[in-house]
Amino acid sequence: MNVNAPFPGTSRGAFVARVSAALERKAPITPADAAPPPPATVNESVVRVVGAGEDLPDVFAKRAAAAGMMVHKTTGAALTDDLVALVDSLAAGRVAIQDRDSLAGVLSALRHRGRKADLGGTVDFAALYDVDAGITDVQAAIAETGSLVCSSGSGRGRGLSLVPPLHIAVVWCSQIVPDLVDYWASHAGSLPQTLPSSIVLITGPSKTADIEGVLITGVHGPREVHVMLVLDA
Amino acid sequence: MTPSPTPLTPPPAAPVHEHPLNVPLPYDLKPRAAKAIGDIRLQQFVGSATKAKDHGRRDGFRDVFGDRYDSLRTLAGDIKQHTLDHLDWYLERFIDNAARAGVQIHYAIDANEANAITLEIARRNQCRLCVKSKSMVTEETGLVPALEAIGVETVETDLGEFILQLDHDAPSHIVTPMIHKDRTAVGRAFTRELGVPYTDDPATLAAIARAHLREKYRHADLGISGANFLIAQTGSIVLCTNEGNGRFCTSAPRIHIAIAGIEKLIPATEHLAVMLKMLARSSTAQPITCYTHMITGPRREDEHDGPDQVHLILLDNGRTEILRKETRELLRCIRCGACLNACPVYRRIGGHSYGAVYSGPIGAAITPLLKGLHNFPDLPHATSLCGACFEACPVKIDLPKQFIMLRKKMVEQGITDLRTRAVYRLWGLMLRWGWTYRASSWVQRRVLRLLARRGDSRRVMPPTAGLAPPAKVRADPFEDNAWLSHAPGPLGEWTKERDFPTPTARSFRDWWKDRGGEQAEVRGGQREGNGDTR
Amino acid sequence: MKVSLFITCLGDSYFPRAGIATVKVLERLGCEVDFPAAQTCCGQPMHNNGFAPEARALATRMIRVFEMSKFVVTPSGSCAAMIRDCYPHMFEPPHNAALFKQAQSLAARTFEFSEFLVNVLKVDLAAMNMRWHGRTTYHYSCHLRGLGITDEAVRLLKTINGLEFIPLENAHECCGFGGTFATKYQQISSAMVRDKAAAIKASGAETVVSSESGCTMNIAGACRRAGHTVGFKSLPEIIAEAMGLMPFTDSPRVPGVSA
Repeated sequence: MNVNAPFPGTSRGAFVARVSAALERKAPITPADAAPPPPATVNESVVRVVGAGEDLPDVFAKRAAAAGMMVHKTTGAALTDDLVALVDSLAAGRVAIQDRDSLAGVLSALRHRGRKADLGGTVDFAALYDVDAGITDVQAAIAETGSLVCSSGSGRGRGLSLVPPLHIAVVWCSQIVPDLVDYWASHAGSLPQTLPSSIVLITGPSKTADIEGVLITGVHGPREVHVMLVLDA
Repeated sequence: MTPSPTPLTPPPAAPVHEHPLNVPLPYDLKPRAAKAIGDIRLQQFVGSATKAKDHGRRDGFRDVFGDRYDSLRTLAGDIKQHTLDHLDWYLERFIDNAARAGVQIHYAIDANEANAITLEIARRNQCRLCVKSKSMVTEETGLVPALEAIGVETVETDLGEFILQLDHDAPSHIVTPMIHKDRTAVGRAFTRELGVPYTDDPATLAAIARAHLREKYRHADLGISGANFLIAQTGSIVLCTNEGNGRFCTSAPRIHIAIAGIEKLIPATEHLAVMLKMLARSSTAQPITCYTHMITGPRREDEHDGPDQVHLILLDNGRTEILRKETRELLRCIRCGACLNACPVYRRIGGHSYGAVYSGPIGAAITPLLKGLHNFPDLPHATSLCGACFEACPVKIDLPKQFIMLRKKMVEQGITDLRTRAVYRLWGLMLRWGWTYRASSWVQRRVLRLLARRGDSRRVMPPTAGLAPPAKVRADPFEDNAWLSHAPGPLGEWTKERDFPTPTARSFRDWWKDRGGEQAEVRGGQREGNGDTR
Repeated sequence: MKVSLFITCLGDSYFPRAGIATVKVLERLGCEVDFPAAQTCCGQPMHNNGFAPEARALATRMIRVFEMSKFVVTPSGSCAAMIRDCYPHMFEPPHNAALFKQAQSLAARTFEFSEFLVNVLKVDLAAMNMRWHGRTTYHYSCHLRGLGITDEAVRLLKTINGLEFIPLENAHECCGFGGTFATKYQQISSAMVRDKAAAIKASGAETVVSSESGCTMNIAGACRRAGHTVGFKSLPEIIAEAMGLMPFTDSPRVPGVSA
């Protein structure tokens, strides 16, 4: 088999030309063609649900809870102790923690208490199947929907918030943005080559209602999501 | 130099089951529809599930957006329409950006090409086990049997699709594919195919599935997904799911193939915000799905996990035909299923009655366009044009208008039978001139009222308990409709399950004339004295 | 105010009392009503079933018939929708520029009865001390969606003293008429109308208000076959009776009386 041979399928030019033909262009589009007029403006007065003036931590906490996540409030100083206490209460024997300066103290505290704790980067995806809880930071949090934004970039990965049945996310208040429009507008200048390969908005534990509409959690992804909300930072 | 791969051997032939979507063409919808209407269980399941989601959609939007709902739908519709109106430009931009992100992009004109590309990627990477998340496009192309034919074990991981695959069944709803199946059927399928003791408790069944599928994720070397949106600005693929299987399929295996119709494009991330506000609320009355996953290329050097290769297959398969101006709005569809949940016809006949991958109102419109109007002549007609679908659609697709346009095409292409065309043409002529109108009204009145007089004495049905003899005999000639329980000609279909009224003894025109309405006839804009225009 | 009545082909032959009531109510409210007798049919069945040339021929006639009318009022929502939503599109370029303009003009002058009363005449019916009696429910016909009409009729009904209004369950769901859908897909249509008839029975109403001829034929026919004794009246008839312009017929329209 010649692995350098082109794949089956049509060429880019021929494929896009079919689209141009359907749009009744006289000739297929080229880079020299002018850009179309801009799309409809995303009118905030129509779409915005949460405004910047609202009590964002409060709105976020309520919406996250409504989505089935458990929200625990803490402070910067108490974060490590509260995380350890949470892990204890969940009886999570093996924990994987995202490698972030903000979470550094947690690793040693857990080991000190006899838990098997490892940095996420040292646990490969396959080994995560045997981990009980994953602790991650977030890139942002969205008050409108109570969502966590988890990125795979800058030395992270995807597995910690996906594979273990328990996911604990640490959210700093300053990371909360009011509305989906705010979060996605922050990507206005994002470039394909600098974006992480994966950004996921997480809003609740994994769920399904496929069997007779009965709601079941923890189908594939985590069955519990805990948010450690740091109020003073 | 890589050693030549061991040839893949196909698995032993699976027993042949009649797949609900293998229908003889042209497809006659009536038998399946009749069966569904008579199936009490199906009526209850589909009826309650769709009503709950439809009401949930309305309540959800009202509670959060109040009277902005209509403007939101207009905005979302405008964004999609704009993208479609300039689809080639946005496609080019998307392709360039996806390439910058490291995605390998392929172009499939039809289902065969899409499958061929997928199989080739699997072969070159020696894939043996594929985990797949829910994708209507792969149903459309028949990808799973093609992969299995070359020896790639392919497992559906979406719980509903997993169960359907085990049970050799097909999805019947765009979003909730097993709306037609109950827990006992699931339990039996699990026992039969997985060898587990019988249970029909949903939580236990889900746990069994979870364990079984985790084993698959562990060993899979290929993951296949669809896409909810493609973002031109960043070359990203967006997946909106609730279960987490989509994340597994696109993160655990080393190769990820996404297959997406070209209509999935939107211009930029700011537009994704609008679409996300519309999608889950329209679909299942949730504010947002559990996971909104934006994938921009394969794993980066500094990331711990993720696929080594990400392939995207852009699919045409008839979409450029629908892209033509008349039908273009149909491609705005974001596959939310709101139209299915709102449709009084879908609610009663269920998804399998449509005989195709896409069911409900949107399916009834696009299936004839994708697969030939002459193959699915019932779909544009099996609707009362009530407009509930249009009212529910988050991107304001005018589905009733599209159905009428498809019916027009059927007449123009001679698909509508000769008898029907003759009847309508004759009917049109009868209404076209004053004298033909008056003559045909007179004939209708006399014939039907005569039949009613005769019919009453020949009534086959015994008098019904609720119908006491009337206290007063209605003598008013302007409201004395009689009734037929056996109407003549095509009206005979009507009277199978309900009665048909006759005209009254005298018409409105008669009343107006009695009143001295002659003057008014002249005043009504006509120049001729008898009020007739020819 | 001069108003022309558009009776509709079904209204003319099957439910003339609705048209009579419309005339009487409008006259009572100060309108001068005329009836251009050359009118026949708006062309809806042809248009909806894909027979565009035939529909256009009928629409052309209608446009000419109502050319001089300042306002066109009809008791049928679906016929009003046909003129408002469809007529302009039927004559869009490249068809006929002159007719296109005329179609747009007619569309702007055409109203369904309840919206005419509420939005154009802006009558305060509550001040008119109307009296009726009976347990009444309302069937919301599908074409009202297209016209943007929501609860005008129900609001009007609720202003009538003595009328006990009972909301119908799933009032907004289609009754299954859909024109030739009712015969072509009889089983699906019957399943839909059966549910509508059952909802009517469950409501306990004695009278169902619907101004749509097709819906009334369909639902009344289903009620009769199921043995539900319930009467059907159009909105204009209720208002005319409540105003004392027409005799109140106190027994429900019992089906089964032959001519």
